[in-house]
Amino acid sequence: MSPAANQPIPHDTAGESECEHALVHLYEYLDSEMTAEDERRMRAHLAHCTPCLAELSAEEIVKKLVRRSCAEQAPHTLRVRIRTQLTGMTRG
Amino acid sequence: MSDDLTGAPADLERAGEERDDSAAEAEFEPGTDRAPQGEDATDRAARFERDALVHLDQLYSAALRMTRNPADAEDLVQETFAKAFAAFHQYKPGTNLKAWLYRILTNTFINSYRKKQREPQQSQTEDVEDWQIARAASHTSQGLRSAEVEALDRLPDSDVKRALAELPEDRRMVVYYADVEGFPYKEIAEIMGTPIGTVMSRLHRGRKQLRELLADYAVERGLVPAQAHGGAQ
Repeated sequence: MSPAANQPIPHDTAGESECEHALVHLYEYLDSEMTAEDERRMRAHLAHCTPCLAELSAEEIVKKLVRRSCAEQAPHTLRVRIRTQLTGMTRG
Repeated sequence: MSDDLTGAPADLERAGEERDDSAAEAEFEPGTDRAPQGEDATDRAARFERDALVHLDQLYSAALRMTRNPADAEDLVQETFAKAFAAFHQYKPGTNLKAWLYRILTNTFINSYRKKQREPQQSQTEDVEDWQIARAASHTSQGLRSAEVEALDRLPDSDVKRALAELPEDRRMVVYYADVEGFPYKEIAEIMGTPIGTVMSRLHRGRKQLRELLADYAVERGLVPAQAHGGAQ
């Protein structure tokens, strides 16, 4: 995939307070979906706003928790079933 | 087994066309937009096993979250790989194979398994404004919850899976794709066949709901001191 395919869209920042901006777009920051300019703005705000930073930390914890908890290993029997099926499809 | 193709998600062909429209992609990868020339069935099977089957664990993990039970998850993954193999000539080497497989998984789930899940269909009126307002308004109430937040980190994996299972399916899978697979929003939108705005809306609702459920579990497990729960009320 070309890098251009996932270019984030710059934010329209008219009429928003910094906290509003930070909270509304927190997930985009968390998920690395921001333009460099919006990311810089977010970082600058978080550096001096404790409540917004706390909110980010909470979201980071939940994100990591989900990631940590969901790694499963497919049963060996499933792997065998799929291989057998592919062999059948190749012959057919 | 070629009749398996008829069962392939309709989205596959549409996805193929979308990719054809992407001139930039074709420029970067000249000549690789088709299966290798002169590849016979055995070669293709070997290529499929090497490139696609390595994602078995990940697809199974996702299928488990979708179906919420191991037997259905196994059947879903097996059906997904069968369809993917039957349609493998449509896959363009060099594009994102994992996302392609996830798209087939998602479509197969919707077509074959969702009916069995007995989950009421969710309303599709998920407009963006709604969560943005809720989000901005929630600012002041968050500060007191740090004890709760730290307790979440000590929850067992089983609680996280239980909480995810409680989420409506669309929210659950968006959270899963974003957090576990780390897919960009645009890719999640393609996998789920929705606009990016819908992905973001589901992500907000899903994460908010998940966090509330996890906070409840943390209280149930005695990980949060009673006075810290819910802040000052």
